[in-house]
Amino acid sequence: MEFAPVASSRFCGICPITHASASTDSIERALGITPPKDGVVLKHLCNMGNKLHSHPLHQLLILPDFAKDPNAALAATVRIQKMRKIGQNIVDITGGEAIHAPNIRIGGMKTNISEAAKRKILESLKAYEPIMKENNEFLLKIFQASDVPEKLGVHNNELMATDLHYGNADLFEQEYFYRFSEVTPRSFYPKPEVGEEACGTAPLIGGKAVEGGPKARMTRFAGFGAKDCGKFDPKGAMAINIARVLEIPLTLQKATELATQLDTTKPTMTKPPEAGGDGQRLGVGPQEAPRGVNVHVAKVKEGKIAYYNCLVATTWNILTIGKACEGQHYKWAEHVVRAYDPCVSCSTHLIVVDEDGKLVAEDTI
Amino acid sequence: MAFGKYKEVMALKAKDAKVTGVAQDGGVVTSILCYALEQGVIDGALLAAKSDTPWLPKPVVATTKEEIIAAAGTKYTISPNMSAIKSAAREYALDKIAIVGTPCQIYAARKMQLYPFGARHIADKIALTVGIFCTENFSYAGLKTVIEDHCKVPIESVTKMEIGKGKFSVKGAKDVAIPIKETHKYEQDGCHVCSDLTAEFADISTGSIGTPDGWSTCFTRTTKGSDLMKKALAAGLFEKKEMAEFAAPMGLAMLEKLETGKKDKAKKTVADRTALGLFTTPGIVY
Ligand code: SF4
Repeated sequence: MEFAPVASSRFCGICPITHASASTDSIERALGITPPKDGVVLKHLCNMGNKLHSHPLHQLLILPDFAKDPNAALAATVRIQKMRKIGQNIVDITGGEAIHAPNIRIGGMKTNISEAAKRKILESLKAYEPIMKENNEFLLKIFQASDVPEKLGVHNNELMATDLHYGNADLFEQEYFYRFSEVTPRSFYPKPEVGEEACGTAPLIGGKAVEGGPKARMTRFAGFGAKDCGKFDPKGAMAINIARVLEIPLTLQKATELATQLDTTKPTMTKPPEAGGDGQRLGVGPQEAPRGVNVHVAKVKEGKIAYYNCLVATTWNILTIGKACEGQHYKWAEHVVRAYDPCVSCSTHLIVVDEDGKLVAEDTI
Repeated sequence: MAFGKYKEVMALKAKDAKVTGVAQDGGVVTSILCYALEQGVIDGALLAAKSDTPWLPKPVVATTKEEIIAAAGTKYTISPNMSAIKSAAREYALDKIAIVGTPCQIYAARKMQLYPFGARHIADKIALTVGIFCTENFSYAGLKTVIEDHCKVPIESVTKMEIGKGKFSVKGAKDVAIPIKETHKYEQDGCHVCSDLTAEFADISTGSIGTPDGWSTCFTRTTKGSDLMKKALAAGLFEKKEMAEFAAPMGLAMLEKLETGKKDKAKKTVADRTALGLFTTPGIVY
């Protein structure tokens, strides 16, 4: 079972931390064990570090869409890289590696950090704040000044969020999991040939596609809405970009709370029973990854994985992304995709074909 | 050139009684580390400290003077100090790490700096390397056999051990010295193809060979090592003598003789192994 978080964290090089966390959480629930309090705090802190670097990275991707002045764009890039460095460093310290952190274990975190390391984290979070403030002001301004259609990406799909910061398995089970179903993309998309091109699976809640990520979290847990969006529709794609900006200070605050709370003298691991697991109990580990809800589910039998399934953030969102692209000129489609996700290939590559399959436009960022 | 590249060589003895009381010889390593820590040149060090098992060292990340002093003294069995470097850079969040190690461990550090695969954000944090002269090393089981079977002293009673003047000597329940020859068969096999006695790639390297009891021979090899040593000398940390004061067969003549012996032995072992058709790392002896 130890291999599951190691393997599944390799789904992604940008948010491996949330995969390792969702994986270990699901296995812990399947085994019926809980990590010590400081193990939980440290794991959460590691995830906040990941978000503090991953959100700015996403902003780097959308920067060329909005920052038209090259000097301003360069200044923003420098700020973003500084923020990313701090976020990554927090993951380095808490997780043992900024990418594919080996300290995230079934039962908690492999090792606690030193008091000096904790102090360094708190200092770096302080240094993050003014850079973030300047960058956020800049981004919100250029968003509002852009000519992106105000209703771009508006849809009525349900928003799915389990927590503002980390992920709440109880809430997920109570509100979403019992309504969950999974179908093939072929049966989901109105045109089978579209579904046949898609890979993976189509996860649904109540038979419909959902949206997770900053807009969903901020709407549900932080009162995000029209008041924050200026000229843009709070149900649209630009609202995601805005929510992401506004989420960073809350993540920063949470990270500071967690680091302050951490007792560096206490254990961080509950050793999992070597031959634990009855093969029946389904452990669910939903994680509020930077861009959506990342759900791992596992059953463990005598220390070995008996069943495993992962529904990663973009697997949920991609169904909604398609919907959100409808109804506007195709030139805006890539803006929609980029608002959701920087890693799907369609956020950086666009081809438009007409009904006869003739190429109309092509673009790469 | 004998002893590899270096800038200065000198005989040193630490003045701090706290250090000389616990150190193996001149207390160079302990003193220079404490000084580097005070001056902010380093913010921690990888050292071989005492573990619960007598004379089995364990690698530690020391971040205070007290921890550095507590780890003083030579342990005649390998302590995988480099294995703690990731911990130092991660959960200790150190930015300026000192590494104290045998010549082979200094190689590891330098290789890590040259091509830091698997050592992301680690190699760039190595701020100082202090190498310790090494003629050969024992596995723990080998060391225990030498002490308990050959010297007939219970290992837990041993307070100090030393190699010098052709003898392996222990102080403990009784003081015993045996000819060093008796210990050769317990050496680590890898040491037989090792040609570095004086830690030729460290910033500073030091050891007892060549100087009288209570003193250490010390090379500064890099600008970093030399600058640090100059400051430490100016701050009055050490008594210093020129190596020329120790005439042959002592002094550098003795060190050179042992160094040549080690290099020759390594060359011979490599030739023997090659003759047997065994693989030997190309360029391992020089
Ligand atoms: S003799 Fe060489 S290989 Fe053996 S411990 Fe010393 S430096 Fe390392």
